[in-house]
Amino acid sequence: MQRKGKTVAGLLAATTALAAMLSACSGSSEKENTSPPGASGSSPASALEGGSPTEISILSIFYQKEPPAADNEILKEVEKRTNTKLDITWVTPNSFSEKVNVTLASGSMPDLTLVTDTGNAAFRAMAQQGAFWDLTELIKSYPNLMKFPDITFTNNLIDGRLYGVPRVRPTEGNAQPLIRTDWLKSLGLEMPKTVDELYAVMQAFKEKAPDGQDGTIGLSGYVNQDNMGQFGFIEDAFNGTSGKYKVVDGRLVDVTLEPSERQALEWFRKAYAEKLIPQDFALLKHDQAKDLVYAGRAGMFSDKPNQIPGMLQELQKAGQKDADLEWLPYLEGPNGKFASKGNGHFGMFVIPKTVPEEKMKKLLAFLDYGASDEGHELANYGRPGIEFNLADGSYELTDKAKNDPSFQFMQNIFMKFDKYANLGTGLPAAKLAEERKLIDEAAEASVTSPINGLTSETALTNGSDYSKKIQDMKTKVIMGDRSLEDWDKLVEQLKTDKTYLKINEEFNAAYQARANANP
Amino acid sequence: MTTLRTLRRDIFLYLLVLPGLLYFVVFKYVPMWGIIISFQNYSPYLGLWHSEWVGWAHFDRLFSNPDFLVILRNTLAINALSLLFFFPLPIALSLMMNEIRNRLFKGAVQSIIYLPHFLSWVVIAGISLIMLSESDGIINGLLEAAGFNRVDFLTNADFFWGLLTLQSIWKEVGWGTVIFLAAIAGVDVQLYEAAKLDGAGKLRQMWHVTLPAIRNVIIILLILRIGHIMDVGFEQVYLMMNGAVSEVAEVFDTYVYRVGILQGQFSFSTAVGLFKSVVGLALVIIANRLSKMFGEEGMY
Repeated sequence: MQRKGKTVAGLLAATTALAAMLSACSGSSEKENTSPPGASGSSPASALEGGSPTEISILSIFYQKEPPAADNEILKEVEKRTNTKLDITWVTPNSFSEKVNVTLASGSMPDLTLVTDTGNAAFRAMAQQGAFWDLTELIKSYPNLMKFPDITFTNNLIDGRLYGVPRVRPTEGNAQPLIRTDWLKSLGLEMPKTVDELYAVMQAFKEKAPDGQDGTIGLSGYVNQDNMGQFGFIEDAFNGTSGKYKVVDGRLVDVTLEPSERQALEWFRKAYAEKLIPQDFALLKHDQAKDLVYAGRAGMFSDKPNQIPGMLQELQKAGQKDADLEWLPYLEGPNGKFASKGNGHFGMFVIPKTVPEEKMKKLLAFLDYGASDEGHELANYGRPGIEFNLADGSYELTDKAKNDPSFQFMQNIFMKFDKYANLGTGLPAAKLAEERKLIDEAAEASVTSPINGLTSETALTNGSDYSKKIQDMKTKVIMGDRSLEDWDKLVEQLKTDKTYLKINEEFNAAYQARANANP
Repeated sequence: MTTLRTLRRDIFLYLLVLPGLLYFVVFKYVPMWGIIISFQNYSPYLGLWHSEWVGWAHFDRLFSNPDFLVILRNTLAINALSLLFFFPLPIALSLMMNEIRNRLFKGAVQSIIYLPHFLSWVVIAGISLIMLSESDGIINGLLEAAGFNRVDFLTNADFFWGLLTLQSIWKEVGWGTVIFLAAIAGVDVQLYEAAKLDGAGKLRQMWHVTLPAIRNVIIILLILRIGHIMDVGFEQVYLMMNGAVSEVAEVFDTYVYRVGILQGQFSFSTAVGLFKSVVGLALVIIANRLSKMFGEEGMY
């Protein structure tokens, strides 16, 4: 009986909500200007207002040091503003894809399930078979979600349909070298602009050891099982593209088979032999590679600019009072200036078909609130006067916020599109303006991976085996276990491998099809 | 008729067995239906009944994969090394422990050698990294101080199998003595007295009394071990694997994890798992036959 009562109430709430939302849409632009930030006025979130709080279960990733406790104040504030009761399962990035695949296979999914690897074969098959709500048309009535750039949507389509709410991400400000500028200054060096200058800086860091430690290296980093990991940026700068494919005369070319890839390997091989990169980079994980920077043993590490404030804090804790870091906006390789451009999203939240339609609409309203200015502010900075204070239009974080190990956790679910969102939070106004300029510089040179949003059936089944085999060879060539001739041999072998070439053909066909569809 | 009568007579014994039987039916036999997905293109959404049947396609893919032989080689090599070097050690250790007369000392030694068994592989991988890494490892520090070159223990493909075997020995050799010590404790003391009267020394007693007495236990454990010849501890290999050694490190278990769990190819990885189990079962049967052929008792 009680169940029935709830659904009726839900239905009522949903209809009133829809009406409220429509009225909220008209004239929302004025409201944004007049209402003070942080105040909860009538917003799309009112779709959830009235009646008892909507219970929402969510599976999400978290990148903070700790997931929020159940009684976290910001979490409570989110629940209050959206009239929801949240049951969130937070999973660390280390085991996220595993957890998602097991959840998908189990058949019992939370109301909102985050899928980060939207190219995954099992996931795509389920979407095609109708396991998730098709949101292609529905999403159009949610004004804040519709503010996401087109690239965010197109890269998430499966057979032209949208099966989830994308998590929008800025396209600029990706993992590129963060350099110890205090070391540069003390050695009288400039920020490097080309791959050769970068190499020279690494050499100077190693030989002159600006903080006087033995065994200082130039660049810290690690590789992943199937790609160059945190060293990827330099490889990409040589190839002049993000990732494995490059567009040449309207066709996709696999850079693995190109001479520029060999040049990149030569560069790394030399750097390894001269001990400019960690000798056990093949073993390192993300945190260990970063620890080398904190210990003052490495002068560079590739990451997003938003990592700078946190890393400086760690460096200061380690006693390096004068440490300063700056993000390298682009790097010039043999193929010209290069910066990597993101795909505009980091996965999407899918809603299983087992969720009734009224509730599905509430879930969309919930995420729409997260993409509003107000929701974005709450997720990013917290509450005014408690987690942040406004000074000259820039956000200053309070100590409470700075010392909270799970601060910004809600960012994993709530975000609006902001070109500069990859910059650190709580920067002073002058610094912020400088950093924004760097992002603009990067935007001029940035190249996105041309296969974003495209799929190849063969790649879905066999692609990872090839990526792993290729990456294993790269690692060994860099470490000097194999020669560059061994690399050439592998390239020759791949050039005659029918399955491997089929991946290339399928991506090309998909690429042409998309190019013809939107000329 | 007689069956029914015995059933009634021993009703309480059967009731006693029931929970154990239920456990096997519910947790071991019912899930076995799951292996049929290795003949399907299983989709969680369509479920067992509606997924497409593809026959032997996944097995075809496995056997025609050029990496198949590499994975098979690695799996067998790691297990062969373990069988050769690891298996005899707990037996030797138990024989030695059996000769310790001071009970206090014996207890202390036992506790110490059991301890590593309770460490997880994550901890052991961490210890290995601290000891053996090329730039910061303690052993490499000592080597360098003694005037030798640094050695890439963890990223050299030649050392990988040996490293795994040593780790397993360190972790499990003490724990492995439990069963043998128990078996040795059961040996009739009169046999030793008789041997002593005949003038046998300690070594002779071990060779002619202790070892023959626990032969049966050794053979049963060996047959069980052979049944696991296709299994390599997933955690250990996964934690120690890196790009520089992966061509000798990829085994069936890590392959199933990478392809099945990370990429969501459930049917294919089930096929790999099924192949593994069939080989394991066949080996147990063969080993058991062989043991019976040589006049030993065998497992069943």
